[in-house]
Amino acid sequence: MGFAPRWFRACWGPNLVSRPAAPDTIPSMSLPGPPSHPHGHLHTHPHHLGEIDASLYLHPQTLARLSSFELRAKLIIEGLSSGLHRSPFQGFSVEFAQHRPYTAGDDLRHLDWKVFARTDKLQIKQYQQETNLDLVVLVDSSGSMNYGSRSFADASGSGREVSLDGRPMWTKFDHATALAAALAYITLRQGDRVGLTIFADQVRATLKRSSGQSAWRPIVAALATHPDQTPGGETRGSRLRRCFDQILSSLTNRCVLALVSDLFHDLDDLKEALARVRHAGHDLIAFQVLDRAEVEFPFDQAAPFVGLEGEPEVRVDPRALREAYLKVMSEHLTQVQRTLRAFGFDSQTVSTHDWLGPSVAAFVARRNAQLKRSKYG
Amino acid sequence: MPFLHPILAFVGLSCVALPILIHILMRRRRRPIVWGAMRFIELALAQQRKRTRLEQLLLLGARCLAVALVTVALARPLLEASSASPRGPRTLYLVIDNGVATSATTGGPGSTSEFDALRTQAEGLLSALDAGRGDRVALVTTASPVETVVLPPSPDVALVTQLVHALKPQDSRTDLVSALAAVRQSLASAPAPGVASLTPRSEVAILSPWRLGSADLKAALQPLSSKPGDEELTLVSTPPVSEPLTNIAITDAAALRPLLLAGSDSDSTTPVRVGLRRSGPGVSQPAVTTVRVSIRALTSTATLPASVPLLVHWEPGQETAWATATVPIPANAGEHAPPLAIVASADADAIAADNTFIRPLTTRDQLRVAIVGTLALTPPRTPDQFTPGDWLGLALAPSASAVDLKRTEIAVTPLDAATLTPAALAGFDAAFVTRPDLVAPEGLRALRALLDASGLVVLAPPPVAASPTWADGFERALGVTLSLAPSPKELSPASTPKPPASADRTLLAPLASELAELCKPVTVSRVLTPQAAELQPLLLLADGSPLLALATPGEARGTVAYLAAAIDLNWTTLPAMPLMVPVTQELLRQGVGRSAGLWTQAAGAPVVPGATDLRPLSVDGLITSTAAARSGTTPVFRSRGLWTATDRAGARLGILSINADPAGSRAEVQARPVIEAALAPLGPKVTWLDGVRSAPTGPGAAEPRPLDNADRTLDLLLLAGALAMVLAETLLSRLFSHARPGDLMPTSALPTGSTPTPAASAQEAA
Repeated sequence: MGFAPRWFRACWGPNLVSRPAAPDTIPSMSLPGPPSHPHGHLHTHPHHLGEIDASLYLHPQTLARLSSFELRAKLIIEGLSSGLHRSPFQGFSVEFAQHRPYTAGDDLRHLDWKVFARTDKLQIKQYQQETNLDLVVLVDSSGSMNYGSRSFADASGSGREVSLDGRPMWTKFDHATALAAALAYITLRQGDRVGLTIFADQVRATLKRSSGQSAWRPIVAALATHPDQTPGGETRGSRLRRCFDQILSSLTNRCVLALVSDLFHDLDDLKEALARVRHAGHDLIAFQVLDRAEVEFPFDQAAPFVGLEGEPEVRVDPRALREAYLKVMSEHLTQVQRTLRAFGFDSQTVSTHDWLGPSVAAFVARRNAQLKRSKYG
Repeated sequence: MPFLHPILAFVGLSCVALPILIHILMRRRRRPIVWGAMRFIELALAQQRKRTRLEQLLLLGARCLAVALVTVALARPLLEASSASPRGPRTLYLVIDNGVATSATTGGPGSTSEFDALRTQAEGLLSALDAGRGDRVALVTTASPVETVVLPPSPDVALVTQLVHALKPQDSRTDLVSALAAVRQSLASAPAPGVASLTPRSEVAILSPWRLGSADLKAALQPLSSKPGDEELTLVSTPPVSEPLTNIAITDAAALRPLLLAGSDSDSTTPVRVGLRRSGPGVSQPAVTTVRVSIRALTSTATLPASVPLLVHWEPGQETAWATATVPIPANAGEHAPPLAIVASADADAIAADNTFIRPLTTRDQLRVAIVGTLALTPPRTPDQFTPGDWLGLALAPSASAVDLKRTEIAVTPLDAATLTPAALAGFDAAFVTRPDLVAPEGLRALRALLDASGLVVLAPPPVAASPTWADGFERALGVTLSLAPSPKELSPASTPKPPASADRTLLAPLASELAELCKPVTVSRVLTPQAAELQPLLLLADGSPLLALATPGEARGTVAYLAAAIDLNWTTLPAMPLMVPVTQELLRQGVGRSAGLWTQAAGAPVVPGATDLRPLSVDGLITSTAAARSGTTPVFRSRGLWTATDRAGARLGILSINADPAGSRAEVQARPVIEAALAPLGPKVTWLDGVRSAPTGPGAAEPRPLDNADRTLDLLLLAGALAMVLAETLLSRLFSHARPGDLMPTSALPTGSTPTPAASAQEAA
């Protein structure tokens, strides 16, 4: 394994170096210039997007790892053109859906003669019309997403010591940025459209859906230049139901929503938001981004804790509190997963200390396999 | 609970606050942690708050208890917890009588004195104290003025033992009242009892032979404690001595004329009056006491003159006696010769300190007298032309002439009253002011300077009509109160002066026998009478008002005399009568010598004002003086001796002689009931220390016994408890630290998400 370059090991981890991607499959990560905004709805920091190096968040190896996967819609999607995904508009396409009795005026080309031969009844074959997928990545930018205990240099893999705004730590929002870029890349590669919404207490920024092959770059740029949340500055929590109301009101067709958040929300708020998504007929994939320190609570010295969302300072003895904290955290995570399952949505917990490629690839593969099993029995 | 080491217990219990202080100090040293998942910390805190607080309290309690147990165990608690227990800390107030009476010896020279017995008793009491237990001791000696050697009480028993060992009987009288007042003040200012186990019991031990000179039992004593029936206070005392002793003390030895004039051919001898007082059982017996009187130079190399033996015959029951001896004066006496002193020594008896009396003599080559009045341009030819200065010049120096003025005993110099200055009056021994109405403020300052230098100022009203307001200036300047009448009073018929009843004890005592006869031809027709009550009359008028009186200045050392009639024939015939010469001569000699007499005092008496520097003067074979003790800036004399008093410039002011106080050397024994009755106002009943013991026998004064097995068991239990508490603290801190490695919840253990099947979704939704 000594021949593997550092960026390769950093991106894929030591277990995957035995199957490196071919160099010719690695797309170029440099942005040639300011990205185009065909829909003109990007409300982000006025940072020059052309200066953003996308490799800060998504390494080419990650893209290569994900290039062979397809993200399939679990629910029926209302697309504008033919694609990979099922559409609620039943037609006479490739995939059989059901029979219905013949009525006068029906096209005789769709008559199932085999059924007529067996049952002496005229039945018309109906097919499931396949459509394209609209993926809307919803990235939580609330204050709690700005926590990180991993160094930026370790997580980025680009050799840069600090982020664009000078942070030395790799936050959950940075990880969400990388995840959004990866999802956008997968989606664009299979010809589907992808959009972006950044929200906290309300929708902060939106990128309209696009199917352009380089449409993932504006997504990375928008996320990388999104205003940071600092403890001393203006704080904002996350109001999921309100944000989803705003998001859903702007969606005119059924989409797949990729929610990237730490999901440190109130469970009732989460349930109401998910119910709205479900009622609107959208599919949702929840990526719960967590930092290792948040789930292990490795502190051992009494110290004051300052919240990132304007909470008052609390003096804590971590050793005494750790057991209760882990219990509360575990219960919350379990409740979140249970809630998501109850609504039939997939979810994936992502740790900022883990490499992104394997976890996303495993999730997509597992989801596709599940879809295949449910489809064919 | 009493402790063997209460101070250690107190300090150790104070250390219980250390864990709390450490906890508070450690809180301030952490940097804040910025945290995202605060809602889970708040939720966890809400669940853990009670438990965490309980854990912290348990841990803090264990730490404090461990410290407390360790310190209590080291302080050696005692099982007998009663406050009346004899095993608690004690405070011993040691009141030792070291007055002159305690120097009495029952045997011959070299035998132990009664003070030695008291010191042995005190050392025994001190040996019973235990500084480690918290015992403290105060030491007060009763020789006047009372010395609080160690007060407030000190835990350094060893140091007090050394101080007691170094104590010696003094020559002043015993002042038990002041000593007990100091003890009472210390008891009242003692800290209020807080912890019962730390409240010391107080014990006042009066060590005295209780002879009559040691205790003035007629004085009213005040209660020692402000709390009636205070059980924490005990009173013990040595029993009164029972051996009868007869003591004879020399109370005084004074020359008839304290001022010696070296130029006087007739003064080769001088009468010396010696006073004695005897006490003890021998008073009832006739006796003869031999007193040797001499006047000698206070130098070790001087040739000792022959002393004059003086036999004093005592009648049965006679306690005091006076005798006069004619003592030769050394030939080389003078201002520039070594100082002279009268030395009277009696036979050896029980108390040796009062067998010798020393009184320094003031010697002058010549008395210099200034007559402050008007200077006549021409000498008077007839008596009716004589001024007061002329009359005084004739009276003071009747045989003087301008030629042999320097050879006379008294040199008279007329000075102008209006131009009197301190420089003009410097070097004079006395000043007769005949025209006080003419004296300017500068002249008043000059007269005050003369008084400060132990001089004599004689005032007389002016012979002419003048406003009596001049008296106000004199009273302010000289510090005397005369209260003169506003105007002269005419006496009709003229009054004849007479000596007062106590003429033999006044300045005119040398004339006492013939004074009445000399007064008869004198008449006084006009006087300016003083009305002040504190004047000492030397001559009285028929109506009892003073014709000649002494006034004592408040601060100065000199003497002021006031003659109520002007020295003028229109006022009185005194200037032309024979009384004028002896009266003015004795007034001058005795007045100047009176100031010198102030330098002889009894031990313990207040020091003569004005003495700025005192150096001990030791004379071989006579007396050995030591440096005077000091109470603040004031020198204190408790033992006899001689000191040379000088002023700031180094000029010798005089010889200070301190003799034993004869009032304190009375040797009569007193009975126990009398003493008990006298000590009853103190409060606690006195317990007698019969015999020399190492501890008193009174209630609450038992000898401290060593730690018994129960105490040692308690110590072991406390140590074991402290050890257990340390172990418990270790376990609790380990337990409450929650530092168990299995608690970590790795990320892999978290739910990683799922792809729910429709059946599972339905089940979850249900």
